Amino acid sequence: MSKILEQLATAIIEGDIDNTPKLVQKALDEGLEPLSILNDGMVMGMNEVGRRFKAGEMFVPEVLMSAEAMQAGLKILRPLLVSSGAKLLGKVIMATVQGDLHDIGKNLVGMMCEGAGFEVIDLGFDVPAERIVQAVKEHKPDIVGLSALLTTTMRQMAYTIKALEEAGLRDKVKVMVGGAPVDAEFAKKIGADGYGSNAAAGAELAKKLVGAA
Amino acid sequence: MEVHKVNYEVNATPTLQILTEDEIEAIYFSSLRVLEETGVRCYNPEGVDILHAHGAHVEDKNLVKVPSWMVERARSTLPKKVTVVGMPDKDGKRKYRMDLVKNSAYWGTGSDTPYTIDPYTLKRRRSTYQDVKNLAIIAEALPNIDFFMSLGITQDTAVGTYDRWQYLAMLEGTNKPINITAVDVEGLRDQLEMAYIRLGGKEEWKKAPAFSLYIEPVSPLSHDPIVIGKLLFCCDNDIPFVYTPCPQAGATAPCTLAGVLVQALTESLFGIVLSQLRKPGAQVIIGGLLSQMDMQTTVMAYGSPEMALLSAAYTDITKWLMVPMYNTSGCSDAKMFDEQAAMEATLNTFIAGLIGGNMIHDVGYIESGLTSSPDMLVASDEIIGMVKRFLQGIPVTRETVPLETIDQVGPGGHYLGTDHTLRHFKTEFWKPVLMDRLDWDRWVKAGSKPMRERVHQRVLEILQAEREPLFDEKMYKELRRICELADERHKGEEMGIGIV
Amino acid sequence: MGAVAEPSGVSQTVGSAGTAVTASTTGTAVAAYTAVMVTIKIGAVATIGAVAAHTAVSAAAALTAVTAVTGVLTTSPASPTITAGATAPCTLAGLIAQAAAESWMGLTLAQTIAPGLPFFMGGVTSILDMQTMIFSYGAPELALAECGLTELAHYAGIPLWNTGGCTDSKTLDEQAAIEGSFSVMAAALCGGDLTHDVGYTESAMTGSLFQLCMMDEAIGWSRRVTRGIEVNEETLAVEVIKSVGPNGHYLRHPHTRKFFKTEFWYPTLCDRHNYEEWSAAGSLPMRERVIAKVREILETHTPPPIKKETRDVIEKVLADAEARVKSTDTKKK
Repeated sequence: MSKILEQLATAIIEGDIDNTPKLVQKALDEGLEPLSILNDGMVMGMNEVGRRFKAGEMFVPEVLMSAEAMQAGLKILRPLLVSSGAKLLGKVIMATVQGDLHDIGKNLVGMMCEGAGFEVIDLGFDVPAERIVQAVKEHKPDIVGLSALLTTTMRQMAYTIKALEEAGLRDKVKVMVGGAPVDAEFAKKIGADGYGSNAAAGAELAKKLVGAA
Repeated sequence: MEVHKVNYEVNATPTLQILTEDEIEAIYFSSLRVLEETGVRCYNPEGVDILHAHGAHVEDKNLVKVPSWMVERARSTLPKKVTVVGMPDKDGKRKYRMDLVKNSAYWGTGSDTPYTIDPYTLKRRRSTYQDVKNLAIIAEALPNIDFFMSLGITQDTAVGTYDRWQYLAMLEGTNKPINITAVDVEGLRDQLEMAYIRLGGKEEWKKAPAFSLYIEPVSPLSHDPIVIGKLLFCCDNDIPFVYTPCPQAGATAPCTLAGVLVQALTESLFGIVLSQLRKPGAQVIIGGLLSQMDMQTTVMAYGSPEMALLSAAYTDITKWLMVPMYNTSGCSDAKMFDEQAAMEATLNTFIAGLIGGNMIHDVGYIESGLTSSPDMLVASDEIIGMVKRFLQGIPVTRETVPLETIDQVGPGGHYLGTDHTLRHFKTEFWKPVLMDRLDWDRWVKAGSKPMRERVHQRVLEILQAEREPLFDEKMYKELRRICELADERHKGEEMGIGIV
Repeated sequence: MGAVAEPSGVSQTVGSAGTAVTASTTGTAVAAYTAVMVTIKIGAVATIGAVAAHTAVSAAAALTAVTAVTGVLTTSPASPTITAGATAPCTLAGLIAQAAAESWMGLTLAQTIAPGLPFFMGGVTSILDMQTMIFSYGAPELALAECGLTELAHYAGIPLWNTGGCTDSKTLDEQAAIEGSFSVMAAALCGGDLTHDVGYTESAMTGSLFQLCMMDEAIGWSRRVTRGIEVNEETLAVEVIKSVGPNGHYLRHPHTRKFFKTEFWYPTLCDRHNYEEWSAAGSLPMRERVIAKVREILETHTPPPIKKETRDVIEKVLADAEARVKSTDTKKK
């Protein structure tokens, strides 16, 4: 691996938000391909972050800094990748369902997905099914992620999936769900595509759902 | 010599103090500043109107900024004591009484866990009506449990009206005071109806409420419309309520413990101000499950020292404010009842007892509040017993320092047969129920059992014991009817998705 | 009185550690103190004196040998293992008074022989379980009495040889966790200076590496509590709260980045993973993690070696002692 890509991976691991885009630019100037800069440099760095986090060697705030560095680098690369026709990881819409104000879990998943290289659109909390449908129409995401903390708001996940079906959009997106009272069985019952038990699992699931893992 | 002289000061019990008065004031005045300058989001228009009408500033429709003088005024009518009394027994006596006031300590369970540990299979699964009832039965039988919260969610009933069924299950299991949850104002109203039926009339409730309501703001600084609706209903109907946040340091609250206290106090003060405006003298309990997001696993830590420390520090603040405290103990991040559950419960129960935490909830919680464990509940009863022994302290009197007896026994003698020992050993020594104090040979002969087996045996004993129903079939039908009517009103919403 | 160790920092009310536990007031401590002095006056019987003197002389001899090598005077604890209801009054205040009397007998003797010798008082203060007749190492009374004794000791200006982290349990189980953690926390809160018996199980009949390892976690937990809560402009974080605002979050805030490592204690044996991750890793109860950690330490940890000169001296002392004992045995034969 070239030296600059190694430096880039290190910048990601260290969560260096200022240096990462500079290194990306330097790599481009040296003639490296955008896709290679992404996959052989930045993604390698994030993979190491994931490994260290799982091993208990890195902590959430550090992982989020790496995710921010990832996004800072991606800001330069994204238009280049799009114009070259390369397949980006994709878009995720995140929302806490209607009637529920809790969103720290959802926020964390969103940030970890950004770390994985996704573009994340966060609709916030207390989001009615109709607004989610609207957002899907507008942003054409690959994944919709829904979060709920209460058994009484869990049902909104089912309503939302139904609303997507009725709008003829269900087969255009993958739906993943999460939250304290949610489990894999419930996800299956309501016809979701997957369940993430925590933020890291959610980001992994997202990668899997777009065929990148 | 004289042990008791003039102007003689005594510690009747041990004392624990986390914050000095100056530190409490620093936190309090910081909270006032946050409430006044940053403000909170209140998504209930009625609540916003009340606050605005009485002097608060409102921006952007629901950003409410409350000036300090409104807090001071609210404090002047805020009750220093909240009393909740349980249901009547067969003789009509309501014998379980909780007087929540500074330095009184009452322990109870926690509410609404999606999962429970099956007492027969020991497997973790979704909780049901029968589980809530079983756990209430266990709580009723445990001497150191003073109040009950559901330790489960009734997920084999309709979803949108589960709260009424849950309350029925709790009433079937225990007469002790209950801290309920409610889906919304309608659910709360139904449960109040049920309480009136169980009490034998609304007048009995006026003498002393039989339940309190648990509601929480969302950290940071956010107040849900339905929650505020329930708050106002409580004020209008003499229902004491617990208004406590669950901030996670580093995630939904500042990473520093002092910062968590500031934010949490701001959130609860908001509830206090609104309640006193709606009804001067409305009974409020504040505190919370204050903890951190574990930065290695992202889990909200129920078994951490920070949780215990924050709860204790907050208790110092509520003593200074003279308002009852909602404390937390007897809970763990362990996924089963094991040494970790036992250790964390011991450590946080000890702290909660020492600080004198009023309404100490969540006993029986494992898996960071997602699962209830009957074994954990029974074991924690034993732990509370140990803590209570410690809280009795060491009285120093002529009788407890028996110089004459010491002299009589003399060097090389013993105290086994002395009158002094006979007088005191029964009250001086705590008697364990679940701790094994046999020597090795006898323990081996008895089966070499680890504690969890004794604990589990006790769970089964309680569940299998003969018991009379707490109320008759007629009353059961009346109570059940409220639940059924609620189901009927909401049947269109279920979508045929059972959770269990 | 003898040399005094630094009083523990637990009772400070200024700054970070704002915890204080008292089981009795100074007034009460004076009462116990005076009672003890009276006891010594009355109870100075030849038997005790002789035994104590003999012990003190032997102790002094051993101390001299070690002192010669290391050049440092070591401390001598005088700590009874004292049983309420059997070898001491049933009531804890009486137990504490007698324990102190016994310690101070040794103290007086030691100071007479070697003035200024550093000294610990203390011991294992507990009860006789009146049903099973064991000296209980897990009873809450043990922790409570130790706290009371600590306060008396500190009042007298003497450091305390404390007890904690022990249990009556015969195995590595929940009782061991409960009883050990209870006395560990009590020890941390009262600030009894050296807390020994961590790792004792089966009422001190069995020493357990597992109990020792498990208690390390409880000690870490307790120390986080006695560290307390620091209250200052930065920790009150009013500006941080303002910048995040309602419905925001703190995960990316520089304030969080600054404090997340130091503000929180991170467990090593207590598991905080969610259910799915814990299941995937084998659904282990804590005891399994404790056992694994002990084995890992035994297999991988190498302590720093003792200097050869030191080793030689110790082996000589041992050899001389063996020879002396063997010759006494031969004489008996």
